Amino acid sequence: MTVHALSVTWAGHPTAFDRMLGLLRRRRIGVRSLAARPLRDGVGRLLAVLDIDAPAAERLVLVLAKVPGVSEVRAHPVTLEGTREVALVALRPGAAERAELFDVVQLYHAAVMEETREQVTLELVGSEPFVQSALRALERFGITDVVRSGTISLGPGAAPEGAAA
Amino acid sequence: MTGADIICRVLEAEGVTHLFGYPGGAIMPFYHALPDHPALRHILVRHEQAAAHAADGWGRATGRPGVCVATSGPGATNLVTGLACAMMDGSPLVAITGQVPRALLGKDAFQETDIVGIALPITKHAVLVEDIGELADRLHEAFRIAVDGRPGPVLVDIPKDVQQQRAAYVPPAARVAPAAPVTTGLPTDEQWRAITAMLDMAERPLILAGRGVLQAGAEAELARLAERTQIPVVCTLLGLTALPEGHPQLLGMPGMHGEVHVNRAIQHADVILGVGLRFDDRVTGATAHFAKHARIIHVDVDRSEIGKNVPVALGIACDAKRFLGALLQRQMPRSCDHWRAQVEAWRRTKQEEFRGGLAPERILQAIHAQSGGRANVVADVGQHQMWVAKHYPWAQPNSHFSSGGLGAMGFAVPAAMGVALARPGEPVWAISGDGGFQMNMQEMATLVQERIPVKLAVFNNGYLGMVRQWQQAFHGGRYSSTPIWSPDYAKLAEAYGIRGVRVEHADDLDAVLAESHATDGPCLVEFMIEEEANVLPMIPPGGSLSDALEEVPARPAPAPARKAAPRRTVAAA
Repeated sequence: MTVHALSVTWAGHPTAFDRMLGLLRRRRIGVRSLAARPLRDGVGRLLAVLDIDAPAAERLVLVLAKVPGVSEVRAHPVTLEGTREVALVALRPGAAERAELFDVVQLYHAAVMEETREQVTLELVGSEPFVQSALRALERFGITDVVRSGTISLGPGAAPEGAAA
Repeated sequence: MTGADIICRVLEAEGVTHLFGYPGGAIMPFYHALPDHPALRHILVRHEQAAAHAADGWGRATGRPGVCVATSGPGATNLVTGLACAMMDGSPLVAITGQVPRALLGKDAFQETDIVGIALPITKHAVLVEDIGELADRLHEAFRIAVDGRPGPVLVDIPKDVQQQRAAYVPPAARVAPAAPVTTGLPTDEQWRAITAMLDMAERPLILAGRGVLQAGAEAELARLAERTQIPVVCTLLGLTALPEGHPQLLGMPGMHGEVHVNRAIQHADVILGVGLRFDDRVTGATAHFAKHARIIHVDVDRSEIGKNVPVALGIACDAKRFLGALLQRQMPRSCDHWRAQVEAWRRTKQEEFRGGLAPERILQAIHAQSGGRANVVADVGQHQMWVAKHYPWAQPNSHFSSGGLGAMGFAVPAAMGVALARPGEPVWAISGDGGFQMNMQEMATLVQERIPVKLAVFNNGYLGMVRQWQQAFHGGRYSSTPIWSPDYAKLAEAYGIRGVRVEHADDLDAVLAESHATDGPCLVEFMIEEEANVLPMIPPGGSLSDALEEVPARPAPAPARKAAPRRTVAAA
């Protein structure tokens, strides 16, 4: 499956967001992740990683470029090496398991966000298979909750966020 | 001034003369302000769907946005079909809707709907204006977006309290954000070399002309190109009138109900220059089998249309007039004698034979003759729409109007109101079937109240004819829910205070139509046509342009219970 990341920057009313979701729905495009956030007052950016090939990505760019308020649309192919996913993992390890847990934490370069008597919260960053692998390794320590960002990707030569538009 | 006055000032500044609408609670401040702006003539329709179609008709006739107005909730949702229709056919339109006051937004207040959310997929742009300071800019922006690139509808939703707020009207300023840059322009030198070489070298070239040619006013350039190169021209349903009937290079209409020789020419072409069209599926049939031998040069003002439906060898995002004008500077004369003779040889000799009743072709020729060839013809959707497209002798550019993309029954009568008001003094015929006419026939009251001189033609065959034809062809002749009862249209017209006549014999056609044309104001003529006539040839659904059916299998004798209902009875069955 070819994967492309789409970055849409808009100003004013975020109709680009609605239109993009509508297009994805009508064209039955697989979504790996969606992330939207304000860049500054009145300007927002949407990043989507989609299961589409290059011609379909190019067509989405053309359609979204017509939406009033959209100032920039870009698409680029996504490779495993160029992507990251963030996962926050909450665990309830037994007292005897903690030492072993921290070995696994080191192995996967995870960060400890919080440690209490009852719970350990970790931050994992890596490609999707890397995060998958880490979660499998952590399963035996009693995962109680996981939040995953989905895949995010930066285009080649992308301007710093906020500099565009 | 109030927000409502600002709306009126914007409409005046945009040169609006007519608006089509229906008042209601959330738009009442606007209607309160309207009488202070006598340059704005409001046409009170009987259903908001008609307001949208009428604004669409106005937009198609003028090239400028037609305007419709509705209240929140049901008023706004009733516009939806008309907005979708304008979107599909690229017709410029601005819809203004009232909305519940801002304090009630999102609380499921009385007559609250998220019309912006509903309208987004069927408009170029839809926006809720929550700040009176932005009202004028958003409205001016709507008029600009509606005509930018490929035209289309824009909806501006205005809460009632914003209409009541006070602010100064500030004319459009530089602070209005420009639209997203869509680069359109003439081909590069390299592309020109490729285009002229392809057209020079082609052995079987074709030009496909769509509505974009008419919208750009490029009919003369198209004719000159066709005459210089002798390349045959095919006009899509919405591109009809781009070349006048009888032009030696005009082949006809392609697609589902296109003539066999036209579709065969497409299937055998080696180069197709498509200008101002979308390559819609009703034109292409199954795209996998469409024009497999052709290299396609696709020219459209909307670059996102290029290559959307069919693969193209070369795509040019450019206005049709600019492109064709520049091509004429470069394209050398050539001949296509052998190719044209080949296409002529494919022209089928078999034509539909109408048994009993009036032949649609004869009716259409009589309308053309009695109007002196000046009529604007607004066709509804169904069998008659195809008969109009195929048999009306088109003479004037942009004199044919129909709901092509959406195929919205009920379009003709209200759209004809818009066309008639946009083109005063020109004859306008709304041609409907007995199904589509009954979808918006309440607009006869609007024609009367507003003195709009639309002539109404109802082709009555007692069926939802196109669906019945498909049932005959593809569903074993099971006429499920297609026989349709009609009232006595002549009497109905009289009840509305207009002249109504039923024609059953061809001998009466000329006299009745002459009287209709002489009638000052609207009138209605009902034509009793053959009940089970079919539009032929036709491409079966999912078929390719090579699969034309030239006849439909006869229907097995229907069981008595399945017999078609009489066209009209005293009481509906």
